Amino acid sequence: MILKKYFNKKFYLNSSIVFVIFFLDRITKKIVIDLFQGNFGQEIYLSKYININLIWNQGIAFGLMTSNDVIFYNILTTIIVLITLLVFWMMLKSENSERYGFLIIFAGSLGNIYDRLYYNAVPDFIDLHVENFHWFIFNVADIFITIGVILLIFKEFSIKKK
Amino acid sequence: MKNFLLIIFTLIFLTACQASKEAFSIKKKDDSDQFLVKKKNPLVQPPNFNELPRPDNQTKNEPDDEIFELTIKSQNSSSGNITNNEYDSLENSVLNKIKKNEFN
Repeated sequence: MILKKYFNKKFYLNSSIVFVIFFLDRITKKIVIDLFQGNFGQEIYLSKYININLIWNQGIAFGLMTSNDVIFYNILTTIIVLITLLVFWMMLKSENSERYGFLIIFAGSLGNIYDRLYYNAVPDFIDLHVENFHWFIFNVADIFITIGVILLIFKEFSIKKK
Repeated sequence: MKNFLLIIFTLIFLTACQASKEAFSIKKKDDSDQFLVKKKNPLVQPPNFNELPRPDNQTKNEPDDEIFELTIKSQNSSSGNITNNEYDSLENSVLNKIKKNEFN
């Protein structure tokens, strides 16, 4: 009876969302890494505005806090894991659209944490650009984290308006 | 506002995007370790430096030089036509010089 309380329909739906996002992130990263091993690190042209370019990020967003120091990297990874746990806890506390926002962030963050632990860096490969203006190179996990954050910001603004 | 800041904080820490400029530029690796570099000892004069022999200004004529002088002299005196006797005497003198050097 107690188990039924937790393992309900919502639980399965939420778990499947996390699993799908994590799997999507992993499969794209795996494809790109394999592609680049045979391509000798050359840029892959997809279209006029998107190229595939594999780079490894040891820091956080926008390449901040990138360091060759192992201790610093481990501290940073620990902070990221703690923030992810905080997001998970907030996800459990929240409801409706807010919960889904945290859920998407949590799933994306899991993808990046996996790379941090497995490769000691996060592979970024989506290079959006208009001619010579390049946006920050990112990955699928970053897309989902950003979507989750935008969702939460909208939720915040809608609460304030009410 | 508190939640908004938390959301932005989450975005910065959890995403892992990187500037393309930084990615494409060649980074200089800081491999050098100042403590691994061994310092050279300062230059010091060798012991008994002042007692070392100094080269003489008067140099003795080497045996090879003497042979050379002899050949030149004989060539000049004969002006190209060397008789058998002169040739023998020259040859003998050279041989004598060589023998002397061997015994010395």
